[in-house]
Amino acid sequence: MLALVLYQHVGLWVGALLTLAIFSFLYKDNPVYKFAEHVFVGVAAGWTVAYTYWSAFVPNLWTPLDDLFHGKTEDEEVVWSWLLVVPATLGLLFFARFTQKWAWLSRWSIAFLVGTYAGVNLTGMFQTNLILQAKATFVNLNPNGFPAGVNGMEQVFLYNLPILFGVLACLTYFFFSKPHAGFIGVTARIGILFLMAAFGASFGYTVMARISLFIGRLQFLFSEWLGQYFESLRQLA
Amino acid sequence: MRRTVPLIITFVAGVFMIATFFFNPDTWPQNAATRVKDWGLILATFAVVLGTGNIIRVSIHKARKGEERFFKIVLLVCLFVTLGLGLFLGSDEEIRSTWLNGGLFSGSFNPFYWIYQHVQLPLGATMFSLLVFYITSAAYRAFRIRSFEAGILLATAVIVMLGQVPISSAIGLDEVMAWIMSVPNVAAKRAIFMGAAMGIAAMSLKIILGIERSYLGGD
Repeated sequence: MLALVLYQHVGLWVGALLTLAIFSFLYKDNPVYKFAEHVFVGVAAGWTVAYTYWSAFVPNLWTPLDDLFHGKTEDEEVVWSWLLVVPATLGLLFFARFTQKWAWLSRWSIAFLVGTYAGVNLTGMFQTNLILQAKATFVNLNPNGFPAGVNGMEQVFLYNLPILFGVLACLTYFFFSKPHAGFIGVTARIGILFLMAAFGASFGYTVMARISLFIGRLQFLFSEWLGQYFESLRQLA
Repeated sequence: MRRTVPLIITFVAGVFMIATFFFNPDTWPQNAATRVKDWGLILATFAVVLGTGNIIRVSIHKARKGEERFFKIVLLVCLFVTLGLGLFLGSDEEIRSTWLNGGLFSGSFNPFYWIYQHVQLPLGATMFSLLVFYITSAAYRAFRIRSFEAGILLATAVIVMLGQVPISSAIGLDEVMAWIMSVPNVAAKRAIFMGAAMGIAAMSLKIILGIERSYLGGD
């Protein structure tokens, strides 16, 4: 019964009061907002550590090592389980930062992370963000080369050609080895227009996403929180 | 030891990850690369603890000095309560799978999940929704038409915003918005991605070869 009350009513009130506390910042920075802000930082930090512990630390390090020491590891996994000592040691070296004398040891862990992800990104980014994007840009420009039922002219002149031209124009704008004059200058200027259109679209999308979140919070306040009491009053009346 | 060993570790780790890229899937180098990437997750766990440890250290230091003492104590209490509950009660498989699916938990009462649902979610959503007011004032400054380019920015932003409300389909704006999103937007983003990919590749190479060392810090 207590759990049900906590879930339904206390939870709603806590959520609503914290929501109003955050909105109070619109008036000016005040102690109520500061309180909610610090609650948010504390809860978020605690939650992140707990969640990371259960979703990354336990399955990737603790359980394999526990299985290894209890003889439950399969034969082909034994070597890899022993090798987990390497990331465990590197991870512990992070905490050397808290001492002045041994702080430099934490560089080993950072170096491993940076080196690994530099290697992953070098090939991965080249493949996904360069080769695949370039491949997707060189599209069909033959109006007769589309399946039946697809308007080839519309597809080419409304979609494929502007995309190809737009990508080349934007890349020309990013190309600084030649002065932006003459043909290159005109192409770069068209590239700017494509970029401005994209930035405008991104801005519009972001504004709408924030408005959607704001409407969501108002719905929570007026429908979920106050709404239930209005509904009870209406039923009583 | 202080600078050479980290540079060697970076070089070996980077070259190893690049080399494994050229092997077929399900060969031992590819499997090894997957394992090493998982090690990155383990290290990230320690890094999260390090970051949280830093928050605790800074908060205690400020509380001792009397700077916003009450708020720092509130922060620390919230952190330790959530962390403690999470470590003891966060192993619930049902809760974790519900989180991963982005849904709401409907099982038995769990205080850790209660904090997540009634404190963290409302606070996070409200913090981000607050930005709508600031983004609106930023929009006023950004959208003042001072040049043809600013006019294009204004026009696309307005079309994309109006294209997402119900009335847009009545005036055909939803189709214009769809075209903007799938043609000029895609073209520009693609060029940005290509440039960024080349920049990231160049920076990665500099890091692996030890030319870029700023990540090692001073001394």
